[in-house]
Amino acid sequence: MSALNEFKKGLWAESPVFVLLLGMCPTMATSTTVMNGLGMGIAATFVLLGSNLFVSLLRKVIPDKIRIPCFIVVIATFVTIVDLMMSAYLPDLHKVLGVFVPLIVVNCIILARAEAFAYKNNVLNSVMDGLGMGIGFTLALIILATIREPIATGRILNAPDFGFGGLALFPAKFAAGLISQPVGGFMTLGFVLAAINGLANRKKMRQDAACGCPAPKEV
Amino acid sequence: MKEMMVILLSTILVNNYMLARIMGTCPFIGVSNQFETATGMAAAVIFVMSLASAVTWLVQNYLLNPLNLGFLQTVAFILVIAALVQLIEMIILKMSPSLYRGLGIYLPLITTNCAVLGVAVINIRDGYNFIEAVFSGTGGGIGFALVLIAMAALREKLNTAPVAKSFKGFPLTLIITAQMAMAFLGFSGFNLEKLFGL
Amino acid sequence: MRDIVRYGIILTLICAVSGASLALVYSKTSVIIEARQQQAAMKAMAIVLPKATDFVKVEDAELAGVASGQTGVLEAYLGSSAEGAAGAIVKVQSNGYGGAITMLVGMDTEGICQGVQILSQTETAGLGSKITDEAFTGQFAGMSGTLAIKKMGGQVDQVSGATISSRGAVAGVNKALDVAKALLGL
Repeated sequence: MSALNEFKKGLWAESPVFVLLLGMCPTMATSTTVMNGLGMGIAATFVLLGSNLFVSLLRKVIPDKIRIPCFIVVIATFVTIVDLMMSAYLPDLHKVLGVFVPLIVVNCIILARAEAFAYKNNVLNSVMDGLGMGIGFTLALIILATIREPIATGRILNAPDFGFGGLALFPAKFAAGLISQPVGGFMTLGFVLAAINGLANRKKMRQDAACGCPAPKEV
Repeated sequence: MKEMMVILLSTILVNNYMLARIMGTCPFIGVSNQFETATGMAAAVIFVMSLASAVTWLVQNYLLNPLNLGFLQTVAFILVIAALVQLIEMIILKMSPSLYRGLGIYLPLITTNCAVLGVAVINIRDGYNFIEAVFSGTGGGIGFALVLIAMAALREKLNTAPVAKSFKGFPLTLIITAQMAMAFLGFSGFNLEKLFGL
Repeated sequence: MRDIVRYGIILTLICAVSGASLALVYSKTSVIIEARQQQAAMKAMAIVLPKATDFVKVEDAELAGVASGQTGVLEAYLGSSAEGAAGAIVKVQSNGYGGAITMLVGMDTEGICQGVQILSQTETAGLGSKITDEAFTGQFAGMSGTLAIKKMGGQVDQVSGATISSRGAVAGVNKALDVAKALLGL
């Protein structure tokens, strides 16, 4: 598979959040505003890139039996680097993301890609995979946040670290603040997944109809 | 003692790790479809969370802080947790091979359970002493277990219910979790200190 | 046996490289982080005691003596300007609805509160958390004596729907003002 394919698959076809169903905790917790989602996505992508790069570089050196602890040390190192840099240069984002920054180390996506891909593939493909998965994760966060932030606050693109208060879409008093709580996180992801399932099912039914195969019975 | 009850009830109900902090979703959704496995996982998580809270607190206060190595917290904590989970795996294998088989891949996955690392980090962040940290970890585990078992019971019933095709499986589980979270929001007004006369 | 030794060496090497690189990043970033924290502290102090230009920290022993057994008295500073003593700033912690409320309170040499800044709180988001709003904290400037919320016959407007959070905040302000009064010998 060409390196470009490794990159593209993470964006949608094998989206880590919507298809592989990994990394849901930070997805629901940090998609409260678009800028938060973007920040978490970029941080996680950085860690994913570093982790995939080094695991792939060291794949001949790391013995199979202790590979998980080795992955963990590599991932934790990059997470700490991101944590320190964020608290130095983006303190407001760091405060909002809070405990979810060190929790990037247990983001299932990163460990899963190290184990399933970087350990068995060359450096170029691993880096492309990491980039694609990371951007796919960020995309998923932004999609969810684009739904949640306006409904919950009436604004979009609120970015305190850059001194930008966001674009007001409607008065805040009509907003449903609950959507930025965990309740809203679970619900939004649930409905988005259902919507994606629905679209995938319709596409499959249309494909089956087009090729003349009998439509599958409703389960 | 009363302060400990406050911490316990606060981590179980008010700041439930799954429903209020959104931690532990992956194993939650993965294991809650079967009641048996869910109860086994619940017990394991309570054990790991209490033990991890204790050990990580000791590591932070007797190793990292004295040597000014606070920035190694993430690396140190996750390694401690990984080691603890390995230990528990070996214990479960010895004590109940059937439970070991039932939990399957989800046992080592407790390492990546956000709630375990989460409670360790939050204990330090909130400045708990050792006893408070252990109670917080145990309470966190009990809270997670409570929700996990409730969800497993619900899902077993739902298996026979007619559900819209798009919503089958994950989407429905997430929406039910949302409703549970809404219910638990009722606890957020709980003045635990007043209840225990503190 | 040889395998375990090999595993041990490889894992140790990886940990060593990890530790070294982290120490490097930490040494660079900790400077920035500390500078920012200092800046934030100075900014908050300037808000609660605007007349002061210099701040001297009160020794912990002296503070303990003045606090006379009250819990949650964290730090205190004496403020001065070119004209002499300007007042005192006390950092206290009081119990709110969802946890501890940490705040900075400034008092001038006449015993009048100059400002209140909430440093941290874990009150209900959108409800009790409104105690951090200027609309709530701003009303303390100019008040003196023992304060209470209007519901209890006092002068402080509580945050609507968050009586307990407001009461906790006012309790903290009262505690701080008492300590400040003692520090300034009023």
